[in-house]
Amino acid sequence: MKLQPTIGLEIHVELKTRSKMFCGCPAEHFAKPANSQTCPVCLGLPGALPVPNRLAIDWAIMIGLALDCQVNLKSTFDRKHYFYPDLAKGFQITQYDDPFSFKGQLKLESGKVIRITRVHLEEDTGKLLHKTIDGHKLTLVDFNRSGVPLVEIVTEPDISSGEEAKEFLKKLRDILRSLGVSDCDMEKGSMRLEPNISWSLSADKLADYKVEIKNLNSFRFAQAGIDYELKRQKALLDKGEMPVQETRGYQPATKATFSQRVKETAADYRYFPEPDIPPIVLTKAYVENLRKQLPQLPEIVVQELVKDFHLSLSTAQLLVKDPLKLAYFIQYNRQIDAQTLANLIVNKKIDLSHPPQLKTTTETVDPKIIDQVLKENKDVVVKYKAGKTSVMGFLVGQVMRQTRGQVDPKLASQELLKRLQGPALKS
Amino acid sequence: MSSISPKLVKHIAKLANLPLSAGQINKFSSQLSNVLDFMGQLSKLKIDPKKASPHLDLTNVTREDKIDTSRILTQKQALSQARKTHQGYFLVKAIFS
Ligand SMILES: [Zn+2]
Repeated sequence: MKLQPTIGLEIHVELKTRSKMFCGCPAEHFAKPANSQTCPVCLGLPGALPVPNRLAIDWAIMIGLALDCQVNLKSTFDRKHYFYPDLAKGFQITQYDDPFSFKGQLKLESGKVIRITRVHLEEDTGKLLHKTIDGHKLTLVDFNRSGVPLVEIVTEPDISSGEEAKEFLKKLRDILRSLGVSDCDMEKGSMRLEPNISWSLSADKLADYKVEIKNLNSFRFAQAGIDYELKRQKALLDKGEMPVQETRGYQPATKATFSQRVKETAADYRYFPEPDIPPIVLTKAYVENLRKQLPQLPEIVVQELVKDFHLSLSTAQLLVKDPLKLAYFIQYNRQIDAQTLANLIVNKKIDLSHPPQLKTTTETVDPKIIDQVLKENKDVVVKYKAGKTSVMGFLVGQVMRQTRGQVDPKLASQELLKRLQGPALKS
Repeated sequence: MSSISPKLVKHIAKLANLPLSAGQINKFSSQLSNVLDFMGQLSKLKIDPKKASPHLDLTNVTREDKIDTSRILTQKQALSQARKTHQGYFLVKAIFS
């Protein structure tokens, strides 16, 4: 049997709740003074009692539902033990045996299904900064991020290339953004990617090794890192050597991965049930209510924009990617020609904090513009004259574009009609 | 009689980040074995393992997503127990050498 690229993904996303996962400290930690947003719970001081954030739980379940997962009606939190300076308590509260949801899927454009293993909720760790101070190599620790709600999404190793991984990640990001539960801002670290890569017989017959790439902060790097790693491993395997099981980093400058000398960590996390947090028990009705709150999936919205407003696929995709832009389009598309409005939004020619300025001059349309549009689209004009009157919408759109949406589309349509039904165009 | 070997004690000590001397490792090896034997008596009792829970009958103890400023520590308070600090950060030896 032939070996094939076998790639799984672990994705961490910070939820944008107001408060942290188990305490009332603010969850927004970007660019805040170090260690200014902590309390006994998130600093892991003895005797502090963690109490889970209900909204974070709802959001974690909604992410699972959006990824077609089954929901556990009884979920528990567990302690995962390890020693590292970013972890104040010596353990992280996470979910091990009973995550909020499991066994989902996400379909790629090709129809290929990527299975989702599980979606669980945990707490983020503190942030480490490595510095040399007075000639000493030191690590600085900031616990503002400690305890921020973090959702981990794990896929089965169903992905077979860097490109597929990138497509999956983009789709996932669009879904998470449409749910409004995370900014998914990779530069700020609110979405983190960890692919694991091997050449295996199949996703169910994995190789004896796998290589993880850490600290990838863009989809492009994830794609390039995966492709590099596949090539590197293949070269070793072709020589009859087994790649080493390890964690590697990615260097954008060389587009290569490199072995990371991470301090040896024991894989023995000694998970046990978090005694301070009773189980979360849900009714089916509760889960169904969360399901009802799910927005339409981005793919479906794109399809509808294309169908209902005749937007181009790429314009529709750009609108859907940004909830603010989409909301603006939906609010104002009746006041101004939909295609024009979409283009203005996508090309950032419109201020989203104000309604669109309707400087519509209902008086006249510059006949030169009508001329130009008809000349530039002779093939369309031929179609129109052959009886395909539906192409009028396209021509009106072109006039709107030329005039940057400054004319009334009805008037543009009338002017076009006059010309099309009038004497033949001189070429 | 259970037996916790010195090798196992060493492994547990490493996971727990405890520096133990050779003498301590041997001592804890026999002590931990005794503790396990003592606890092992429980296995003679007929207990429904499904009912074992650290949570009694509590479920769904959650809180609303609200910021509680009353419990937030100042930077100074947060750092007050730290051995070393630097410009508002906790300071530890470099974890990458
Ligand atoms: Zn806190």
